[in-house]
Amino acid sequence: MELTDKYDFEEGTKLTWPLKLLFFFGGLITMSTMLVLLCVFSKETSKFFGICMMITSIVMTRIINNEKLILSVAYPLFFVGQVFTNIFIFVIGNDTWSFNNIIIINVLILTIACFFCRNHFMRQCILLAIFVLVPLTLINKKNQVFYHIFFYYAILLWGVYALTIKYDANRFGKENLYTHYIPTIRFCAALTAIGYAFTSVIFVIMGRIDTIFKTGNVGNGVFESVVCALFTFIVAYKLLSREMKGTKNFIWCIALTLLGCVASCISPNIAIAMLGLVLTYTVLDYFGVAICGLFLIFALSVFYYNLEIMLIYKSYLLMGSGVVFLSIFYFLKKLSK
Amino acid sequence: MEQDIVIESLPQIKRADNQKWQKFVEVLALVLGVGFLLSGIIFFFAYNWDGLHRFVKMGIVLALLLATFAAVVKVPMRDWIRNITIFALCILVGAFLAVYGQVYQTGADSYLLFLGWSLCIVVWVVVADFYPLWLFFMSLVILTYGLIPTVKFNLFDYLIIFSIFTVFFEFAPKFIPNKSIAPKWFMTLLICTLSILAVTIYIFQEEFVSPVLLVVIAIYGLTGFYSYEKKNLLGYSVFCIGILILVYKLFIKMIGYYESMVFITLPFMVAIYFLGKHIIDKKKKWESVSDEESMSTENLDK
Repeated sequence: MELTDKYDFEEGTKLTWPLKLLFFFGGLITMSTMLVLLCVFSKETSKFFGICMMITSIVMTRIINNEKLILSVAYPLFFVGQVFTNIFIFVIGNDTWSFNNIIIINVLILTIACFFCRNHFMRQCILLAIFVLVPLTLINKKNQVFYHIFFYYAILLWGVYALTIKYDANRFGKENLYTHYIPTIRFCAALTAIGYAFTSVIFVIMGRIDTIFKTGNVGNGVFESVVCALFTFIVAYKLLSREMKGTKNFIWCIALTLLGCVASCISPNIAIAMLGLVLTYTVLDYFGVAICGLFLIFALSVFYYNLEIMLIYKSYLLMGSGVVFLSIFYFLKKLSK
Repeated sequence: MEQDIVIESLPQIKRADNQKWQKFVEVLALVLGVGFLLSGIIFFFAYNWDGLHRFVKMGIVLALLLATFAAVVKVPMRDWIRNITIFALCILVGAFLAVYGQVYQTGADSYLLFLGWSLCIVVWVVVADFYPLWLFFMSLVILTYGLIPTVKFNLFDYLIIFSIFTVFFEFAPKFIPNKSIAPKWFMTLLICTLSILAVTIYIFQEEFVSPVLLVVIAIYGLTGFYSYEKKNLLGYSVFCIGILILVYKLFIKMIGYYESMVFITLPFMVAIYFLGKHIIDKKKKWESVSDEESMSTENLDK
């Protein structure tokens, strides 16, 4: 059975961003009209409608060559089918199935659909949905632990990102499906990691997690910071070994990197932002660099805001930090000469 | 043939080399250093603000303003750095006006601050002719208009303001000496904003036909015409998506009940299909035209 993407052999045109916009918004509008259409039917009839719609859309991607036709019809059909499938699951589940069971079923359905689908854009959308839904499978209303899972999931996603760097396209044959989805996996991993890291920070600000990420208390959030900083140091060390081993500046660079990683341990959010920056810049993923940069600014602002010291001492600390970084900049300039 | 197409579209492997990493670390250290230092200085003055004399407060901002002005005029620097310095100068003008208003408790309406700010920096904006600074200036003008107490929020007014700016940037280089032609990204941003505003006004308009709606449709049509003439694929695509939304809204207005949406699902899918095909055809045509033009330019240079 063929699992590779089908390209539009009649047109031979790869989707550009304007076209992706057209099919995305056009698909959303079509989805909304179809949802209204299907709400007209009774609950009894709509039981299997959702699954039928999803199966039909996947079959369409396998038998039709025309990409525009697939994106006009199959793409909205698939996601409307998913909404209806969820409605059906809620109806038959009633109170017996918990929220995370429903999410598990969704993830399974999406994984199977992604496996059999042969349209590149649809597979990209399904992959993003899978990345976002996976940690929600562990949600349990009875305890508060699941909020921590968001942060660990973000670390795991950066691990996935690092694996795509280690196992890049040059290691595989050009016909390998994985090589065509490396940019998609990186995009989904970076976006979801930052999204979930941001969510865990918001929960702290809202006061849902009282202990583990509160920056004022020594020992809380240290494990997460150390894991991220260690990960960053390993990546940086591997890069420096490849580029600079044997040169006289190698030791200085390692020392500076170690200093930077230790400094990032003050807050797990800063550590994860630094990790993201290093990984995304390694492959010149400017979208990833931009979102990690923005998250770093956010993490630094939250850290300084939450510091339980007077404003005047915060200003001294900020000025001191500024002087330190400017000294590092000056030192690096000297080193490069 | 299938295999050839698969091989052609393989993503390129990109890696940051030694020089890029060096630049990255330098930029990161510089940005963090300057950011922390400036934040520390701001917090220092924020803490001591109440205790400072009014002349010291205004003197600090004025000193920064004069130092930036001196840097722009006297210090040799690259054009893009000079433009960023002028941008910083324009922001400091606003800071000075805010401090002045706070010190003397002028009691002026907030729109007067932004009006004064816009008027004070207009010369610098024109001299620099730096398009991010033009965007900042436009946002000041829009904010000034929005904050006037007697003005009620109305998207149509903002559509007219954006239209005036678009016409200015399109035709000014022909009439004003030394005025540069606006870059493509800037005009695309203006055109897309006009299209989105026009579509939003149409969606929320209650009447079927009105003078306002006719003006909105005329402006919307002109954005499509402009995108077509300038071969701007993104602007043209946004225009086409807007047409879909407008037709959808028109159907709902005409029929009036939700069950009728059954009848437009299939035509809508067909419309998306043919619109996608149309945009692909236009892309191919415009790319071949621009390739021909660049080849003829190269031949002329030779």
